[in-house]
Amino acid sequence: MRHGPLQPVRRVLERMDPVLSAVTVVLLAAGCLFIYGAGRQTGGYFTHYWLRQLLAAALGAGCFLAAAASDYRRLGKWAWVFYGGAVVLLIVVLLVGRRINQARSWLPLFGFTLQPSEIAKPATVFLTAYVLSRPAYVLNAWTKAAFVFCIVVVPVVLVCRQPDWGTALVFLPPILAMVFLAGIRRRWVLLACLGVVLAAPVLFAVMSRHQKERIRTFLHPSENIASSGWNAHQSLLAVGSGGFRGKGFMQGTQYVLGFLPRKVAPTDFIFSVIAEETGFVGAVALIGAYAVLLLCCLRGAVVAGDDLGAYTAVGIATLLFTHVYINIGMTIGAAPIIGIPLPLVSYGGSFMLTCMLALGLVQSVYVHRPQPRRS
Amino acid sequence: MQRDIYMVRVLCVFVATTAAFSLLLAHFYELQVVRHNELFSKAKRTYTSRRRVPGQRGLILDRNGYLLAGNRACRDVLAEPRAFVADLPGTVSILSRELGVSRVDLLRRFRRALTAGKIEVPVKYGVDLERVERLRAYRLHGLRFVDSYRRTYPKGRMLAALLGFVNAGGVGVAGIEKEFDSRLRPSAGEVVYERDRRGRPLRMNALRRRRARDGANLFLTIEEPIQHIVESELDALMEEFQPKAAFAVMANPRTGEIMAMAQKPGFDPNRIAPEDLPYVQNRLLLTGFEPGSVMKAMAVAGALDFGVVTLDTVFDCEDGCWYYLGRPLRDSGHRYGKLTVREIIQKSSNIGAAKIALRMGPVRLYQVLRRFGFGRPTGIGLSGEAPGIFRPLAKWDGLSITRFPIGQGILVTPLQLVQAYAALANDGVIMRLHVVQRLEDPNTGLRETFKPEAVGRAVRPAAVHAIVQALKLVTRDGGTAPKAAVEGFEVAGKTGTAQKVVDGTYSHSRYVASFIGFVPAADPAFVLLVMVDEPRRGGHYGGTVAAPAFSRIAERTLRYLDIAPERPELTGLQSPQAAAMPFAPDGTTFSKLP
Repeated sequence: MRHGPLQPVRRVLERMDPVLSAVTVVLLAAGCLFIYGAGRQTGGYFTHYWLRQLLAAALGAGCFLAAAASDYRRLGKWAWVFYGGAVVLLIVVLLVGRRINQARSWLPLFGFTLQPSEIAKPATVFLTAYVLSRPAYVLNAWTKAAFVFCIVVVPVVLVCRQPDWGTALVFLPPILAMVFLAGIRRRWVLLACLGVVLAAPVLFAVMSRHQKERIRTFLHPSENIASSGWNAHQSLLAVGSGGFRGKGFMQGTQYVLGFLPRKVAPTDFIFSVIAEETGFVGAVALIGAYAVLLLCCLRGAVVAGDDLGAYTAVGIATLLFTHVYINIGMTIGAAPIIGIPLPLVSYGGSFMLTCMLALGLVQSVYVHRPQPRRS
Repeated sequence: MQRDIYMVRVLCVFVATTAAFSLLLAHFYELQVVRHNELFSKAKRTYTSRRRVPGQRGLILDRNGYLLAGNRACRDVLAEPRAFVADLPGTVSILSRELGVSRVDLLRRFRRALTAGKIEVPVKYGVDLERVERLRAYRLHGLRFVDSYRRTYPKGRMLAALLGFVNAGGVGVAGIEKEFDSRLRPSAGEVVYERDRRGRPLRMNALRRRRARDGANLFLTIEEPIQHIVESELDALMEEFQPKAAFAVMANPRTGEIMAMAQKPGFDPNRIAPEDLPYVQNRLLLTGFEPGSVMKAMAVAGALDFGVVTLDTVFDCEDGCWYYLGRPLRDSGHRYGKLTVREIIQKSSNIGAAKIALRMGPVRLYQVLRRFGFGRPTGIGLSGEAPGIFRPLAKWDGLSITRFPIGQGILVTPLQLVQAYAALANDGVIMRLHVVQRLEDPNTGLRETFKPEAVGRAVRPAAVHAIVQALKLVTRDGGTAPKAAVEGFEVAGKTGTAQKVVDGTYSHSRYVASFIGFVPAADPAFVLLVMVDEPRRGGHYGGTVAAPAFSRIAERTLRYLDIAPERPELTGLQSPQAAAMPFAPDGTTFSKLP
C-alpha cells in the first residue's frame, strides 16, 4: 500500500457509509430546493434564504467530515467539555439572549444568531452515551442512574427556562433509547412511565398560557381555527390539497397567499410546502429518505466497535427521529405545534450544524468499526 | 448472548421508529389521497373570493335622448365594527362627520352588530367619490368600499311625479321607476378570483366572470324642451294665482303620445324631504275632478253626431236661470236669451248645454260620454290609474241629464279629459294615451317600441268638424277665453270653471279652473290641458286663470315645433317675413310634426 499525505483522508472516505452520506446530500438538496422555491414565490427577504441555507449546508458538510474523520473514542474523553460549554451557553442565553416569539433562545454572534439549545442536544446525547459506556458504570443502581438523570435534567431545565418546552421535550427520547439499549430494568421503565403520568397535570399547571394554548389546539384542532389553530389548520389544508402527485414545484398556494404564514413556510412548515407541491409521492419519498437515514444510523450502532459508538449512534438516530416525527406530525395535526425544525431540510443554521455534526459522529462510529478479519 | 440481547434492543428501536413512520405515511395517505378533494376544496374556498359587479340601472330619456334619470358612479361604505373596538367613539365620529350619518345611530348600529356577532354593517350607500377619497385618507382599518351606482335626476324637479324615484336599495318605488322597475333593474355580474390572505386579488384574470347586465334604457314620449316650457309656465302661474295645485298635460292627438306632463307643487327626486310626500303621487292619473264646462264639448259633439241638433239650432237660455224638476240651473256671469248651439259652446251656457242633452236623452248622452272614455282608465300603462266616477245609466237620477253635460256630478282625471279632447282633435278617433315610447336593451341593442294604438271612435268626423267650428269661437271675441288665443293660429278649446264640493254643497270660493284645447285647430299639433286647483287670487275662471297659461305654453311650443302660422292675418302685423312664409302649392305647410 502506498502511503501519501492524503492517505488518512482517503482511508476515512473509503470507509464511510456511502448510503448515509448520499441520503444526507439528497435531503440537504431537497431542503435548499424548496427553500429556494418558497423564497422565490413569497419574495421579499425570503428570496435569499436558500443561499444562506446553502452556506449553512457547506459549513455543516465541513463539520460532518471533520467529525467523521476524528475518532469518536478520542472525542468521548472531551464529552464533558462539550457538555460543559453547552450548559454555559445555555446560561448565557438566559442572561443576554435575544427574545423571539416569547422565548429567549437566541444568542447574537458575529452577525449570526446561535441557538445554544441546538448545541446542547448532541452534547447531552454524547455525554450520556459516554457515561453509560464507562465500564464502571452500573445503570441499575440508584446513585448511578441519578447521575445520568442529572446530566439530562440540567440542560432540559435551562431550556425550559427560556421557555422552550418543545425543544426541552426533544432531549428525552434519545436518552430513553440509550438507557433502554444499556439494559435498564423493566420495572424502572414502568416506574418512569407512572412518574410521567403523575407529573403531567402538575406540568400543565406550571406551563405558561401560550404553551397551554398549543396543547389545547393539538387536542381540539377545530376549536380555534381563527387564532391559535390557524397554522395547523392551514398546513392541513396545504397538505391535503397537494393530493397524490402534488401541485408541482413552486405551484403551492397556501404559503404564497399567506394563509400558511410566510415566516414559517421555509422553517418549521417546510414539509407542508413540500407535501403541497409534491403530493403524497413526495411525502413518501422524503419520509423514506429519513427512514433510510435512521436505518444507516442503526446500522452504525450494530457494527460499532464499542458501547460508546453504539449508544451514540442510537441516541443520535432517536434524536433525529424525534425531530422528524414531531415536525412532520405538526404539519398534519398529528403532533402539537411546538416549533421543532425538520433535520437537514428546514431553514436554520444552528440546527443544520447540529445535525451535520451528529451525523458526522455516526459516520465516525461507522468509519471506526472493527475491521473484519481477512481470511 | 450479550450481543444478541443488544441486537434485539437495536431491533426494538428500529421497529418502533419504522412503525411511527408507517403511521405518519398512513396519515399522509388519508389526507392527500382519501381526503384530498375535501381539503382541496376547503383550501380553494379560503383563497377564492367573489366580487359583485354592479350593473347600471336603465336610463330614462325623453324621446330624443335627453337624459331624465341617470346613474352616478359612487361607493357603498361598509364597516367591520370589530376592527374599531380599540377606538369605537373616535371612528364613529370620523364616519359621521365625513358621511353625514347620525353619530348616535351609527354607534347604536355598531354596538348591536358587535353583540350579535355580525361582521359587516353598511354605513352609507351611494357615497360620492370625493367623499370616499377623503374618508380613505384616514386609513381606517375595517372599512370597505364597494362600487355602485346612485340614481340621479339631472333635471331635478322636472317631470318628477312621472319619473318617480328609487329607494336606498336602488329599487323603484314610485312613478315610471316603479312601473318599469323589472325592466330598468340591472342584473349584477360576479367575478370569482383568487386572493391572498389579506384579500388582494392575485392575477389579472379572474377565474370566472359573469358580466353585469345593464337595465334597459327607457325612452319616454315626453319632449324635454316642451316639458321645460310647460313647467316654467306652470311655475309662473303658481306665482301669479297662488293655487293649491296646477296641472298640465300635453299629448299628440294623432298618436296618443304624452308630450309633456307636469304638476305643481313638485319635488326634487334627488332630495326627497318628508314634506314632499303629498306631491309624490302622479295626480294627473290618480285624482278625479269635477271637470265643469269642458264637458260640454263632448255632450254637444254627441248631440251633433246623433243629428239631434246642428250648430245653428237655437235654444232659449232663459235669461240665465232655468228651473228643471224644481231645481234652478244658472248661467254664470251673463244672462243669455236665445243662443245657437255654436254660441252655447262659445259662451259656455249651462242652460243651453242642459237643454241640448235633454233633447238627446239620457241613453244617448250616456253612450257618447262612455265612448269618450269617461268612467274607465285610459290605459296609459301606469298602474293605479283612477277610472273617475261616471255613474251607470241605471243609477242616474232626474237631474243627471242636466248636470253631467256641464261637468257636474261626474269625476274625471286630467288624463281622461286629454284623451277625450285628443279624440276631437283626431277626427273622433281615440288613440291610446301612452308615455313610454320604447325600451332599448343596451346589451343587445334590441328595441321594443310602443306603437300608437286606436282604441275606438267616439264620434264621426262630421260631428267633430262641427264641434271644432264651435270650439274655435271660444278664444275669439265674445268667447269665454280670448286669453287662450295664440297669435297666428286658430285655437279650438273650452274653458271650465268647476265649483268644488265642500261639505256636500258647491262652494262659491273654491274652484277648479281649466282650459283644454288644441292648436292649430285644423291640423292639431297637440292637445293641451291646463288645470288649476283652487286659485287663491287674481280670479277663478278658466278663462282668466288657465287660459293665459294655455296661450303661452301653446305659443312657445308651436315655435319650438317650428309650425308655421296657418293664418298670417291673425298675427295682426303683416310683416314681410310673414307674407313670405313659404307655403307649398299643394297646401302642405313646412312644419315639423313630432
